[in-house]
Amino acid sequence: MIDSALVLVLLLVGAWGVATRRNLVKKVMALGILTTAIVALFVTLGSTIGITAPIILEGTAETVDPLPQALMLTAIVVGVCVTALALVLVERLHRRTGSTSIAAIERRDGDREEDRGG
Amino acid sequence: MGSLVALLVVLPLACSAAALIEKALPRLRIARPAAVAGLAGMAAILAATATPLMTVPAGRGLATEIGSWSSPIGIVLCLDGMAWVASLAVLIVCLAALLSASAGRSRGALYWFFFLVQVAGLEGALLTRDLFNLFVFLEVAGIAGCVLIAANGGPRPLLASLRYLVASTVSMALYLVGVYLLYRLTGSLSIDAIAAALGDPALTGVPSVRRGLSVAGACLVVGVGLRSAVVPLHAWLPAAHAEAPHEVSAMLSGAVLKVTIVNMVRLAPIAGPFLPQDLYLWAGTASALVGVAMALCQLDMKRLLAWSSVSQVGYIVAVLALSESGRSAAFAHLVSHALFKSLLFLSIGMVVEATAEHRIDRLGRLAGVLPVPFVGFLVGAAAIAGLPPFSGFASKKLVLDALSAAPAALWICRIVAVGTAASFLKLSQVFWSAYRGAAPSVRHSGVSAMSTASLALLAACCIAAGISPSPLIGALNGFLGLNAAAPAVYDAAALAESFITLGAGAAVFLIVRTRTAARIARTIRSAAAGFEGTIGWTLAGFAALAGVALIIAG
Repeated sequence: MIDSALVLVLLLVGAWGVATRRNLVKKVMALGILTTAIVALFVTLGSTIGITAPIILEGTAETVDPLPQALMLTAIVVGVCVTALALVLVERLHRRTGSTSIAAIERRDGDREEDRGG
Repeated sequence: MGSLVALLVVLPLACSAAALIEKALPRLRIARPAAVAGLAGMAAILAATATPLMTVPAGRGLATEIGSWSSPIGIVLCLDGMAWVASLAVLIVCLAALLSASAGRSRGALYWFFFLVQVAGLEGALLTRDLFNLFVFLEVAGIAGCVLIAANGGPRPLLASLRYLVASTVSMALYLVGVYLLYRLTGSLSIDAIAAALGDPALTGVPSVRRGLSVAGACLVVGVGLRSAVVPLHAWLPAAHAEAPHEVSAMLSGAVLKVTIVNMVRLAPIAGPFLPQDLYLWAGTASALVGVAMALCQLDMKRLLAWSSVSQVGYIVAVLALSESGRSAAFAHLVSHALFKSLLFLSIGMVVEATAEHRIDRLGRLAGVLPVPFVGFLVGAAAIAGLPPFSGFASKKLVLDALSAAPAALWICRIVAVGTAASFLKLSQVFWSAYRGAAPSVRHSGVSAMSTASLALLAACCIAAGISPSPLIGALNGFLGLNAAAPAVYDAAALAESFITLGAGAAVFLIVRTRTAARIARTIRSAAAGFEGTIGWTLAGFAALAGVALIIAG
């Protein structure tokens, strides 16, 4: 119960951060929080059926479900790739335009439709 | 046979590794030949599997299990008719993009590496029958796509790439929430196993389970729908497709959008039970309308093409789930759009390269100076406007016929067709309008044998598919496992409709040329969503869909 509530809070914080923060670096941080929330969600899912580590030794019983953990290893790697790529893009943008604020970049180089075509 | 299926994904990955060798040994120049070898190998595999697949019923195909773990624990890659048709379209588009990329500025090893990784990701997404595996392949293709979009550098491509990356990550996070719910409720990640579990009334009778399944359905649809750019999840597309290098734009519009649409079809049985009945119909119609309205207002050539992609994808999505003939029409238009949209992007790309100018109102009278792109553009524009004897005529007729089951949507799509004709008349101005300003210096015609070959390949496919559509549609129905007979495409009503549409489009075009219309267009253009609007619309769209699904589930 408390796990689900915490995961929900993390998800909402991440989504809110991506949607509202103007600074690109903060958006990337919020993406990281979102990914972490998903990982936490799956890991707590696995723990609903047991409590011990899923290693087959003598006398182990009630192991957690290993599948969600395995999935999340992949998801963490994907998250690292995405964060790395996002940060490279932000760094390049900063080098080219001197700013990490979307409004400033869009205003300066006109990504808005009106500047591109008007 | 099964190993051939896995080879469809392994081959481009192996070739991408070979391309990377050029980084270590620059004299070897192995990257581009590796790309050619990869695409050629995949074409050979498709040729080998064509005949066995023609006779297999829908949903079944050539399957292989990865690592010898069988379903429902293991991951199954299955080449069925749908995947075969989409792979063929993807291959033709990627081949044309390869030819075009070879003609322009010389591309390094890393470019070809990401090119091949994207092809591998797209193939994997088409073949996989596992939910989480689909996430992995979509992310692989997406990350490679983002790198390719930003390949030319410059703040606009970088921002467009970042926007796509952030939007797709948010949507994939939602998708994973859906996967979590489905795994918790059905205990499996395989699409077929989940579909079987959903057929069990003992499971779906429980209210909490129904609620979970409905939210999961909304999550899956939003996750894949954003990559297909269905309204309201479309806002990232115009920037990304317009700012990318030209052959990458062709690949994005022609190949990537198609793969994600096939994924929507695959996920429909497990996502669909608690979603509104006509969701795809109305989302598709809205996409078609919004796309063409924005396209008509654009002054940037590639943005016009990108918004037109949103519109055409709307056509495909609208008829996707209507009926058997709708499914057939959707795939016909899918292949057709892949061909003519990539042709258009490559032709206009050549114009942009030659004149270093993006805007329609700053170019004119280029037909004589750039004849090859002009002819390519003519074929593509005629196809998208639905004129015979091009592929667009046949596929548009099929789509409109399938829509006759929903008269309101049919009339909206007819209006959209008029708008499409008008917007391409507007785009064609760069070739004939009497622009009296400072003439752009045409540096070099930018036309080489390779780029001409890429245009010729796509144009030939458009024309061939248009001249004799019936046997091709019959083959398509065979691949899709549909029993519908191929309808006669060239009847008087359809021919009359296509010319009436063209005439109406010309009238709309003349209206759009006036000053008042230009001012209105400017206002509409500035209403398009920016970076934050993209995320906002995605989350709002998901919240709305999940809310509706929860209400339906009860």
